[in-house]
Amino acid sequence: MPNLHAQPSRAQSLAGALVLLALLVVAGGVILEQFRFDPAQWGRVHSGPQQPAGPLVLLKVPGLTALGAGQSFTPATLSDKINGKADLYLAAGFKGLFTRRYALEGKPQAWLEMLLFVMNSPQAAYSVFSTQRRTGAVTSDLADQAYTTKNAVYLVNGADYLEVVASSAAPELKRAARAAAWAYLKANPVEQPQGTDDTALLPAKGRQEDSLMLLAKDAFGMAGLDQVQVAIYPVGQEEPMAFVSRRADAAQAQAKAEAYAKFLLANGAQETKPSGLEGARLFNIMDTWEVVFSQGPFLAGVRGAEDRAATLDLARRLKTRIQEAQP
Amino acid sequence: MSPLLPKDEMDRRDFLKRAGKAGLGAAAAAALGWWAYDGQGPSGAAPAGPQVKLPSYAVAGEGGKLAVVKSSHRVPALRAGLEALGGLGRFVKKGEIVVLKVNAAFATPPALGATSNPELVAEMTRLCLEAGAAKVIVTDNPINDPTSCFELSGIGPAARQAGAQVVLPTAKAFQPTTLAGGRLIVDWPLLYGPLAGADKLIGLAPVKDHHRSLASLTMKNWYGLLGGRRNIFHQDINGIVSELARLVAPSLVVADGVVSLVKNGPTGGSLEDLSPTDAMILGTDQVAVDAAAVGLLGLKPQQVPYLGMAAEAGAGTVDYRSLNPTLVELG
Repeated sequence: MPNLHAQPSRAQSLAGALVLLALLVVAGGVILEQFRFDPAQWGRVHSGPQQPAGPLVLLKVPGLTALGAGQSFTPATLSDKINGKADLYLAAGFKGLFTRRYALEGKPQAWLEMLLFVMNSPQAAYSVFSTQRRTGAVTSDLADQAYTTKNAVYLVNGADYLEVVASSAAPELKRAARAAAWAYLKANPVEQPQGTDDTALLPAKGRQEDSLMLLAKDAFGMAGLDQVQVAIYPVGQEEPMAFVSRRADAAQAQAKAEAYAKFLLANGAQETKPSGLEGARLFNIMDTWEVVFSQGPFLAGVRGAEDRAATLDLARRLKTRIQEAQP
Repeated sequence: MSPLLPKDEMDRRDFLKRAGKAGLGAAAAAALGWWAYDGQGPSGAAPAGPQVKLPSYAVAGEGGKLAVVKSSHRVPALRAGLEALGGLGRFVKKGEIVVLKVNAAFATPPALGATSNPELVAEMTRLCLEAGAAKVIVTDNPINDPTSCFELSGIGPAARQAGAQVVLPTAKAFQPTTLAGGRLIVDWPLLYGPLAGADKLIGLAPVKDHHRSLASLTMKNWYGLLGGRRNIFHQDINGIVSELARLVAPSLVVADGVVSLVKNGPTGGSLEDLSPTDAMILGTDQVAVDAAAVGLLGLKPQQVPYLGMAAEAGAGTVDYRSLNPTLVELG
């Protein structure tokens, strides 16, 4: 048992003093530096090329040469890459972004960039994929949810949302973008989610196919209205939108429908009686018509058309479709 | 006395003395922490150095001018627009230093329309030099890595080739500024280095959709003069754009809508996000220019809150037609 009364030796005292001195120097340095805080230097993260590109680091694409090690971004730094669009991803459920540029071998001016958004769930990935779908895009066979444009490939793979964006529409770059997407898919196989596909509740007839979207959060400007599937049904010059959202049970669906009706009323909507739509509520807001109802565990409705009859017709078809789909 | 400690190693007095010392030490450390605690934390804004105030770069007697050029080609559109405003010579005098504030926000190719078009930047540089400018500085504080942004967007090479000096942001280029009566721009780092000593300031902005503010035009372009953790301003995007319009009084602004990024802005990514809107809007009233340009995005001025806020603050007029804009159709 050591003697606790024993005085420390001179060497021990010296060592202790030196440690304390070192700590004082560090503390002094911290204090001095914080008075010279320069946010232009420290307050902004310019994610440099030294940062790893996560799953893209080891990705090899035939015919392409990686330009640097790539970059990675967190929810706190996402806006350093995509600025004002960061909110779209953050609202849907964002975990990380990995980016890396590649050039055609021997042609450094012909390059593409892979942007791999890792989301919280397949639904979140689908949400950011669907809400940005480009008009005139061509559905791709690369994945269940994939399309190509003149210069890019977009797809969902599990909870990942991948963009491969080429610097031009040159055919060889477009082929390279597809090859890059394929290389990523091969390196990152996932089981396709087996969850219920609520898009099937939106009537197929008259539906603009590329208009299917999953609004992850605060749909139609209403806080708390999340996970809403929508689709457009063009009628003449109008584009009424049908929507459906699965809630936990019928009671919650009804409560959400009432909350949405209150939200419309609070924003100046006038309520009128719908004809032939039992349980539904009809509103006129800023000269457009909105129908909202609940059916089983679903909140559903139609919005955005000036044509009352077209709105009600689509609402009837939507209600029937949901009724048919329920066990 | 604890039976665990032998009497000859610690008695009550020793214990109390040591406990007292330990307690005093802990209390002193806590007091030091309390004294040093900064409840607000760093603002994330103010760099070292004295406060600066941007001067007005507006040209006396040239206020409230607007030209709308319908064209599918940028160079003739720019030339025709400047001509409609009375010629660039009214804005740039011999021997002056001109700063071109471009939008080089992203390290994306020019084809994607997320940044100022390099051809337009080069032409404006040439025209300023032809008008007698002693020096043309092209600058921005991009969202992505500055070097990559200027090079991959094509702005850097085009500007240099046309005779401009490209100035990238460095820590030393920022100095704090405060907008009088401002709520957001308070003791905030401003990209002042390239502007120090400049005589004229011209904004060259692409017309873009913006997820947060609906439209990214000439006033939003000044966002690239801010340093620090400016992304916090996204929560009040209309507030910051309207304050920027009050902070910066340019000589001239150009909204390039020859091809506009009409969807998925501000980054875009696909060529399908672009639309040939065949218009370039130039003017001395940045609010009016933006109010006219939002139409290219299918918006009405009243749908973009920062326009009204900037006008209310005295930065210009939303009623751009009241300026009797000159319409030039080049076909």
